[in-house]
Amino acid sequence: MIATLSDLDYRRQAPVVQERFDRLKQRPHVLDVVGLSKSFDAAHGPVVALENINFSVHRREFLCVIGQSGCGKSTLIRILAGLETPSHGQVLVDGLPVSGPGRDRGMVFQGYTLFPWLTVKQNVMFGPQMAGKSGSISEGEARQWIALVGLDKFENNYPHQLSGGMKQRVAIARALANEPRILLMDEPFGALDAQTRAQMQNYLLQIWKNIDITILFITHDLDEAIFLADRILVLDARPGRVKEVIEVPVPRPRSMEQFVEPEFLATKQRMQELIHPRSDSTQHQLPVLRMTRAGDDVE
Amino acid sequence: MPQTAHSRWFGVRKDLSKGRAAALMAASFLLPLGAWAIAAYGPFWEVAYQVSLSAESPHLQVVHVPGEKLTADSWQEFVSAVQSDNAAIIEAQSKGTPNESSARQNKKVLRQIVPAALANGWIEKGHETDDEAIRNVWQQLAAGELTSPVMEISDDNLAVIKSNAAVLSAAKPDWPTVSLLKLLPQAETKVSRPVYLIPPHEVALAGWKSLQAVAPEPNSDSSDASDRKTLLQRYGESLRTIFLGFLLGAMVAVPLGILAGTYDFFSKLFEPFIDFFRYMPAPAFGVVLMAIFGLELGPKIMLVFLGTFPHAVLMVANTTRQLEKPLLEAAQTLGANQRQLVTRVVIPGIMPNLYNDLRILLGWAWTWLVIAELMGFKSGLTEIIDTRGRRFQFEHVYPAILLIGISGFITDQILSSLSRVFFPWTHSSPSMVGRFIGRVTQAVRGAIDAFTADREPSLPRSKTSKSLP
Repeated sequence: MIATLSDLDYRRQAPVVQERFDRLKQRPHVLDVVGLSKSFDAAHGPVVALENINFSVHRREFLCVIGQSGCGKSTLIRILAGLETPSHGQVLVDGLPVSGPGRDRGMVFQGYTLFPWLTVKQNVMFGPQMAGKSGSISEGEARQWIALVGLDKFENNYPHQLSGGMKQRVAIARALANEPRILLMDEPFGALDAQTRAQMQNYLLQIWKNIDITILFITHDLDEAIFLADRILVLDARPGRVKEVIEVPVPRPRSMEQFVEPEFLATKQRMQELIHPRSDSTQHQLPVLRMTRAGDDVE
Repeated sequence: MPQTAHSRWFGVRKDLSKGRAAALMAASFLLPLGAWAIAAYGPFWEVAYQVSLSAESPHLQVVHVPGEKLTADSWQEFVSAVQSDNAAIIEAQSKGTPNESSARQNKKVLRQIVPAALANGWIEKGHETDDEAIRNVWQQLAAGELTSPVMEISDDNLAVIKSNAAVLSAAKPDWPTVSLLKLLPQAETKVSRPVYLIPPHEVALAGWKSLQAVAPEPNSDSSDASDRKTLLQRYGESLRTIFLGFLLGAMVAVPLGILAGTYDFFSKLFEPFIDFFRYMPAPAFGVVLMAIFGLELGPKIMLVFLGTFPHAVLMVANTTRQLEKPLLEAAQTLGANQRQLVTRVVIPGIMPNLYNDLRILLGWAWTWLVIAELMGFKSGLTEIIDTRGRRFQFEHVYPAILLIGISGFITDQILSSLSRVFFPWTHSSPSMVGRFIGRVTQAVRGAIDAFTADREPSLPRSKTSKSLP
């Protein structure tokens, strides 16, 4: 297995996959990030969080952004959402520069940000109502979006009555109810347990398939990124720079079985090289201090 | 060692069982009550004799008037002195040489009965020196024609009365010239506690009587202002002061606090001065308030306001700032504008904590009440506390103080349980009342939905391809 792995190039794409990428690249850009930089003022001088970031996302593309913690992933997505302003460069949605948060970019946060005083339905109605839609219209729309994420039975529950996975599904429905051009997701499944997480990844792909939505998804989980994405943007840390954009060679529809396929493993290995280049070096080794003799056969 | 985890009374941050918790909560009230009872009923205090019927004796240095309190020793001395006087009179009579006595002296002896006669209603007030009437009382008592509803006459004294009545009838209509027997002193035993230590049952009794009083108490010195209104009327006054002061404080503090918690502009503009202002004790402004608002209700309300408002602004501002920022960011990405952020996120989001803040604010208002009511014309429960306290009538002071405490405590408990009804989304398991109200509102909503569905059969469907996952 290992031998075949090193033989297989992660850049080699099966014809089906290649065709898919050809079609995808012909689609118009929904999001363009041009020369984006961000630096903060810290006590010991300015800290560069992001440096000259350039990339584009095509319509209905699923783009994952991956990188070590502290590489500026969250800063990037917050700038895209308009919650922070870049030091240089700009963000274009459908070719138009953005300033500040807007309905064209929906966002799902890492923590649970449902409004606890509103029921599931009222949470999903929030966006349409902010846009001035009447109660009955936004309620009807909200019902459809709740059905889309499979929570029709819970529309009158309050968030505290839902599990973590259900809360994030409501958050997705709430963001989609505004019919944004792009859905920004900031490690949305980071707080979930492994099983719920896998389930949510499946749900997300189904939702994405069902509606016309472009997704930019931030994660630090390599498997998650490969399972979900068309392309993966690998960020370098300190300063945050685009290290490589990987076109995932795993064909769609995706399934859990693909986790052991050679394309999958090759991609994962490449990303490991990019993100943890020195992971075997001695500085990550703990000193050997034997304090027990019981069960000396553990290794 | 067997595990006995469930039977431990002391475990760091461990909850006790429901039964134990309830027992301790009851003990929390019963222990102070017990301490009070022990202090009041315990054998720490001397028994005193409060004279109700007095007598004069040449063997005594002093004259004891009714109402005076005597120690056990001097009481004994008093009684035996009068007894020996009577014994001398009887001895002289039996020898056939009765002691001579003037009519004036005998009238004085008869007047001994006056305190009992007044208490039992045998003579009218103002007739204390009407000797013919008093003489009549003696005769009637001897004939057994009078009842003693309030002050009993002892058997020894009834014997004295009968003996004297015989002498009186014999001399009729003149006053006898032989010595009459003296009434033996009578007294009520009283435990001489410190004046401030009123036993629980007396406080309860006095409180119960005052609560039941529908008309102003007909007291001997009813010229005093504190007797012109009943306890409940005064309680109403206090409630009005508290409520208006609290309402004013809340109406000003809540908007200012929300503004300061939402906008840094208002935070920097208001909070530094208010933070300084709260260190100046509100009662210090009492004279200023009286100069501005007069002596009636105005300054009292303003004092409660001044005492609560600065803390409330800072507290509400802090509560507002504690709203999680991600909620505001989420709302912004959903298209909420600046105004909608305040009205649709900040205000509904802080409601439960704001409600708790107001509960605390009301608690403070109660603490300012007493000082407020002392200003200008005294009013409310404080007037009872103050005037009765000055007269050492502590059995009337404690019910008023307790009434303040109980009102504050019960109001807070009620508001606390209502919080679950108002904010069902803050509690994972709604209370009984909350569940009931939830069910009712759901039924009403269902009915409204059914009604509107009839009128608009199809909801607008704008989306094309949306299906279940």
